Amino acid sequence: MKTRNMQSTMSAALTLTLAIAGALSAIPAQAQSNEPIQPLPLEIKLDPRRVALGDKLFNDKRLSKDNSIACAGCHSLATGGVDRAPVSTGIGGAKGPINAPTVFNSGFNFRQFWDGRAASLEEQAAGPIHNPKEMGSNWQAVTAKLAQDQALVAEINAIYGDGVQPKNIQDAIATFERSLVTPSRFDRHLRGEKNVLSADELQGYQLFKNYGCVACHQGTNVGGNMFQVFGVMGDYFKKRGGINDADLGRYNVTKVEADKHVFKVPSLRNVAATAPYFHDGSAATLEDAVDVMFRYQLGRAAPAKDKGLIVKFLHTLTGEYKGKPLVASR
Amino acid sequence: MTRNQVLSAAIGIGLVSVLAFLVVKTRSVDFDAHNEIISTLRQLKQLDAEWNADVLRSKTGFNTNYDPVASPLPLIARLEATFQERTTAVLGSGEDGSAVTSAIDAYKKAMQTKIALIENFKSQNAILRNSSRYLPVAAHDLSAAVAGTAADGATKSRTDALVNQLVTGAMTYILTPDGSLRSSVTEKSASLGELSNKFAPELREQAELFGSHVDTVLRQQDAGDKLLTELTTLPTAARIDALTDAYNSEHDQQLIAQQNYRLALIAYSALLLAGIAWLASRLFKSYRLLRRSNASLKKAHDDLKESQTYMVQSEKMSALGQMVAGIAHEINTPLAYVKGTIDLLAEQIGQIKGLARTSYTLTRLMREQADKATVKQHFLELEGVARQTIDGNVVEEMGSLLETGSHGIGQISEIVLNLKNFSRLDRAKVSEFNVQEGLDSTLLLAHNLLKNKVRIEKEFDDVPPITCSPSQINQVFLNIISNAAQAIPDGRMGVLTLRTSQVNEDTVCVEIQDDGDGIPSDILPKIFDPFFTTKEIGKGTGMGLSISYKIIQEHGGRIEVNTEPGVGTVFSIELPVKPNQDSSAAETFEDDLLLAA
Repeated sequence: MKTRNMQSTMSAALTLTLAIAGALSAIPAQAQSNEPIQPLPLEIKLDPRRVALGDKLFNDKRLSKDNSIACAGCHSLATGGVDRAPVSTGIGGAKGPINAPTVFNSGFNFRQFWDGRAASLEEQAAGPIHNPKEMGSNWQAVTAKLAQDQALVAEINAIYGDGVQPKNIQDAIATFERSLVTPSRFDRHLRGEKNVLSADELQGYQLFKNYGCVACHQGTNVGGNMFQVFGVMGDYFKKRGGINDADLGRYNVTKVEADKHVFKVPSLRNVAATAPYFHDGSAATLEDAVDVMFRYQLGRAAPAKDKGLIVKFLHTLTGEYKGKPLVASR
Repeated sequence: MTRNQVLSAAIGIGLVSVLAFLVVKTRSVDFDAHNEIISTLRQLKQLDAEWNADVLRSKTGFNTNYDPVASPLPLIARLEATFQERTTAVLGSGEDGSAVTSAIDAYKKAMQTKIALIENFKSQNAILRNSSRYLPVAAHDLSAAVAGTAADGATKSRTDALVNQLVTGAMTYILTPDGSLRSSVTEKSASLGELSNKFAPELREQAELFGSHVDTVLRQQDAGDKLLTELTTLPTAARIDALTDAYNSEHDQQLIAQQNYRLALIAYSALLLAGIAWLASRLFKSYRLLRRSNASLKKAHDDLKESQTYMVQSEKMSALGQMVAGIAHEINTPLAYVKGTIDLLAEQIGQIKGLARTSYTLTRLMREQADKATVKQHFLELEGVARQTIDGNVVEEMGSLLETGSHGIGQISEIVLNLKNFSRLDRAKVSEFNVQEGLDSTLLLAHNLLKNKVRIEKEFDDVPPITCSPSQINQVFLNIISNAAQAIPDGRMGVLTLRTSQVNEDTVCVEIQDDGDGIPSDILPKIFDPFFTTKEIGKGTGMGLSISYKIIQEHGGRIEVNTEPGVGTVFSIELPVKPNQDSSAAETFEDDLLLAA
């Protein structure tokens, strides 16, 4: 018993040491570049078997009630990880209440969904499966269907050993989604490569910082790490009209009055490929979206030229997946 | 199972269950889980502290993005999951109201609040940074716009001054949020608002925008201050410490409990051992007692056997004594007339002797050619003797006497043969035996006891020979027959009825019935008891019927008595044709027979 105690103490100590080492190593990395936007990591270690399994499940229509749509239906990797519609269409043509966020780089978001109701990608995966307007199914039905696929069962067993289980499906899909990383030209610039960006793009980045966009759209994911009220300097929803439940944002989760119209700040990576914009899909183009942001979030006007330069900068955030650049919306 | 066995089994199971319970309880403290919990909490506390530092770095602008502030969230969730899981492992689920559970609740509440506060902080800090960054630009733009209008110099310079003061005031307020500064800025903002009423609509709008950013700075700065104050006073670290303490004291309690259980286990084991030792000593004692009493029993048994053998022997000798008297008499009678015939023969010898002498004298004289007269004289003498012998039937008489003597000797030898048959010296040997012959030879031997006293009636059915010890069965017959003879009062002729019959294939029945006085009911139950006798001291051993009973029993048979006072008594003896086939029983049977003999 004594030996076991010592072992566990040692392993605890080791864990602690590693944690401290991790914390220390994080500081110099930040000190290297004090840019508000940080490059994507060069390498992400994931179990390739899980990624492959998750890829299959991500494209598996059996996850929906009537076998009509897969995750990829609304988060197509060919179209920026979104469906490019103001709101998504679920089983039986049901229109969802909200604009689908991109699945690319979603592993870098601090929470999932516009209102941040899921703390992890694993948690997120369960959401659309159960949403009656999306996939309209449930774990029992999904696992029953998948359990009949012997090849799939064998693959799952080889990895997890305990068969078709919700947690395994969630883990595989989330692992696959973590692999959806799209390094861009801007990342190369951040890593110190010269002449990657044009003068206009560099100026656009400067304006992006100067005008204060970067106050919210910062970090590795150029957003996706905080909540912000939509309409800081003006009442967006009054202007738009027709307020629905989805417009209440984080309030739907916390029921705190101050959280009304508060949304997760979306990542701007691949933003040029994911039109239309905002949770309500109300901005058809990047220019429109930038206008709305200036008006309601920054509370200031800007010359069209500056906005144009910012849009140019935003295009540099369009990355590559598996060596192929994502295709812009238009 | 008897009630006692069930009770013993229940007690056994109970004792073992208590032992198992104590053993399990002694091992129940999970040190690994506890260490993991404590180290997890330590990590959590460190993370919490680093998080505070990152919030302040973001506030001061040292952190240019919120990744460091957002990244602890999954870590916290993971650590919480770990210690929650370990807690369940250590304490078990559903232990509501314990110190640990309430400490966890308190911690979680604080952590939830902290997460919400930090989310708010990020949002408000972003807005504050945006407005404070834009404020100087907006001020410059506004001043330039006002300068470009046709307004009078005083208004222009007043606007300029107000804008500059507002920018300076707002920026100062960010660094030193002071109440008087706030009211002065608010006043000036209102003055600018009044002043801007004179402006053209576009310019007025621009002034309003500037004012709203000033307000935003004030508002967000206040909100940020409030958030940070709340954040710094939020006792997450204290809650983690409390939680650690709760875990430690819980662990200490478990250790104490474990210690107590261990002591209890030792005490219980000692108790059990003592109990087992006590039982063993009891067992040993009773074993010794058993051995002792076994030995003394064996000795008593041997003594009893010895005395029984002696008694049997003496009973036999007594019976033999009676018999010898009878036999002597039996032999005496033929012996007497054998003697008589011999005496008579001796008397006849003289006549034969005279005949022989006369014949010889005549024949000698004739050879010597004696005178005719002498010869004639002797011739006449011989003729006379011979006629006398023939006429006297002497030879016939002698033959008759010899026959009579021979008959007497034959009678004596028959008696001797019967005696030999009765008491066959190889009597322990089991052999085929005809009960009727047995009864006959017994009667012959008991003749002296029976003659002139009882009339014998035989009602013999055909019965198969039985396998038994003949001498023993004869002993039984003799015993009962002589008892029967004695039961008949003197002075009248009694009737002794002997019956043989076959009860079934395997059983033969012998009945010996007398018409004597019967057995009084008060002594009837005792007649088969050893040493019980109604005879005078010295006349009977009191062993006869007891031995008979034992002999019949050992043959696997039954002896029964039916009596009616004044009418008579009948003894019924049932004997198996074949003794028990069981070899061991047969051995015992032979041994017992030997012993009984």
